[in-house]
Amino acid sequence: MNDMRRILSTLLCLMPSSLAWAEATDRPLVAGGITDKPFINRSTRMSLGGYTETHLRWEREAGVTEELTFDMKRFNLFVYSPVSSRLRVAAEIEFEEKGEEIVVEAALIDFELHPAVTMRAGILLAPLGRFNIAHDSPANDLTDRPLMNTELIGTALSEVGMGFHGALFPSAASRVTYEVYAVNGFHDGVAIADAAGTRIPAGKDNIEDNNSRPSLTGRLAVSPGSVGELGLSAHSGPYNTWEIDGLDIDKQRNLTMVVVDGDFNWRSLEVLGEYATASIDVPAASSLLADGQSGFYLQANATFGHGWLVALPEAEFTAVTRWGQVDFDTDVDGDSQNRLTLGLNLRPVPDAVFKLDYQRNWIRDRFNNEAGSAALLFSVATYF
Amino acid sequence: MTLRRCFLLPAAILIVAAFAGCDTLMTSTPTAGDDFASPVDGLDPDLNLVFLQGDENFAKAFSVAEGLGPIFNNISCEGCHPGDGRGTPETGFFRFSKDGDLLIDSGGPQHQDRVIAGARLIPENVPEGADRSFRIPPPVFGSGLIEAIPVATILALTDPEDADGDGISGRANWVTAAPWVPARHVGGGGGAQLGRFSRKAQVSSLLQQVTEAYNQDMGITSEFLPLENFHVQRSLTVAVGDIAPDPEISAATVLQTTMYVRLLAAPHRGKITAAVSRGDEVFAGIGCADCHVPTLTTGIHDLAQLSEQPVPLYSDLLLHDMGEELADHRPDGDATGSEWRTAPLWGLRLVARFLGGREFYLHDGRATTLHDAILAHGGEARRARDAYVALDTATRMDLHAFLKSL
Repeated sequence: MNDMRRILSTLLCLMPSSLAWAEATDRPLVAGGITDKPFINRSTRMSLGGYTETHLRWEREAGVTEELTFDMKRFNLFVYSPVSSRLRVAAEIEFEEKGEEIVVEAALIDFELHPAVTMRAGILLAPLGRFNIAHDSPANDLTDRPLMNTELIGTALSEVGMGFHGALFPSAASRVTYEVYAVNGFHDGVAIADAAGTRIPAGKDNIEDNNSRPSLTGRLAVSPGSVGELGLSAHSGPYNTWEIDGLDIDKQRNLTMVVVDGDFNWRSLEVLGEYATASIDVPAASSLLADGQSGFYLQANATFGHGWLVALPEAEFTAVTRWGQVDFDTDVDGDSQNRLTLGLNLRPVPDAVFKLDYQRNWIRDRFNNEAGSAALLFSVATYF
Repeated sequence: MTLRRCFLLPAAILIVAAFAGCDTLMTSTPTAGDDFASPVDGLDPDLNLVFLQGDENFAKAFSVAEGLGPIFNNISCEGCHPGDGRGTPETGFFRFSKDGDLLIDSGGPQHQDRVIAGARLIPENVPEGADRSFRIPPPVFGSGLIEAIPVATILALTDPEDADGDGISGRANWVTAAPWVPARHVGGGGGAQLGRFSRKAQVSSLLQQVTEAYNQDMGITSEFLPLENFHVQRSLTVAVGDIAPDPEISAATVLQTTMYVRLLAAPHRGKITAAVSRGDEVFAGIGCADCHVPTLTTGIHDLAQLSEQPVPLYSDLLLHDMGEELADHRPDGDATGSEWRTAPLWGLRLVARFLGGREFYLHDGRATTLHDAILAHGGEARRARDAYVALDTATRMDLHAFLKSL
């Protein structure tokens, strides 16, 4: 028994003091490893948030139910970290269709060079129209995105690139904002990936530039005050691979899109819209490919009923009407789609919304034959 | 109260209206028989499933990644046959050959006017000096009914030597089926087979028609035709830009599509007005019905829907000499350069509905009105055409009303 006590006392003497133990734990197992990240020590300066949306969709075509389904459309996570007074990092990770599709929609670094000039680098949302850079479902008053954004621009169109953005203030009330970036642009998928023909969204996600020539994209927006904003944006550059290992396999083909957007408020009314036109240099021998596309939407929102619900003092309703169109080939009469959407929303709090929409589509094929479809949509979306 | 008035009430109206007035708000089903894409009545669930799979295949647009091309005319079956009806001159193409030689080594017998974007090739040309024939895509509905008409029924209408002296001959186009068409298929097997499909009745088998359309029209290889349609005019024996493994579709897919086409019903007749009835009599009276035979009857068939059924196609499915007026000077099988299979007239009332309001008639779509189409008839149809020209305006209108009721 005495022997045992002696051995135990010896072991305790060999153990480090409590101070020495603390010093040891301050040192990470691996310098720069998973437990050794800068944000761990400034957790109060990093924000985590996101939004989520779920749909109930009933869609019919020619009198036949095509779809009656619940759809967990998106679960998006935001990360924001002001690393220093001039350096900020923001990211958005999107989980679509129950995680079937996971995309880093944005992951960017902002470095403020001057109050009016900030350098941005990383995966960024192309400033091609206002909706592409601000399209979160809880902020969108209708369940589905505008046709021109899904079919023409490919919202969310995010690209790898670098550039600058900033704001100027000509007067106390007015503001001019700009964004201009060099990006990888689109790839050959514009012309060959989608069986339906020229489809610009089929050429996005050009993760490493396929032709070693960047594209340029930018937006200039003028806001005279709280009344609204008018924007002009463009995206231009080559999309195809025309040379491999020094051998010509094609000629350089460019894609240029120009978008005009506007958003105007008057009392409880809001009118917003965008118009986009695209010019695509496609191989003439594949004459089913369109070299011109266009689209627009015009939307009116009327907000009412603030304070009507006693239990939800922040709640308000919005009646929404949107007319949208996309013309997949400006050279033919058909190959287009029109959509009318009527919606009624309840926002119990500003960050959450219940949406009830009726949607009617008129789709014309290349022969200009019209087919109709309709949908009744209910969705819920919220920031968190 | 305010809430009920301003939110619940409109919302309830929207929902109730949507459910109660489905057909108004949520689109309505087309009237039965008013389209070309419906199946024959009364299919069992197994055949409905096959029909639906085939329908999907028919609408399927192929991308380059899926094997489109390298040279092609269109990207899908439906791209040429909108609504399963006829096509337009924009979707037409040339068939070419020289004195019966199909000019396989020069890219024949079909001119593919498009190449895939990834191939960066120049398209085919119709070789200098070749006999060329421009064709618009024919309608595909009712093909199963046509297939089910017994050979003997069609042959009974032939009169190659014009023995009855009515100026109308009518003869069969005897062709050889592709070797991969099983003998159990109508028109398949060795030896001479009766051609009944395509503009000059140069195809005997529905399976062959569908398989070759995949291969020639879209550049899609199948287990029946696994070799790409190469761009031989560019001395290419590789499918530039088409890296999809061959065969690009299975035999099952081709058979499903063939079955789909086989099961397509013919549209119903339109309203029979007094003018239509009078026009019907004129149609027979001036001799149109001598070739445009109103009704043939199918033989005994495994499918009850195709067995011993009347087929109101307004054709005898035989070759007739249509004279210089319609001659393409390009023989096809046994058919001479001025012979054409009598075009079925069923579905004329719906032509414009599936062509964006436009109308195209005759093998090359040259006529945009029925009047012009009738006037273009020659050869064996000259007598009927002249009789039509001699009709007074009211009687012509009756005839048009009849044709527009088919």
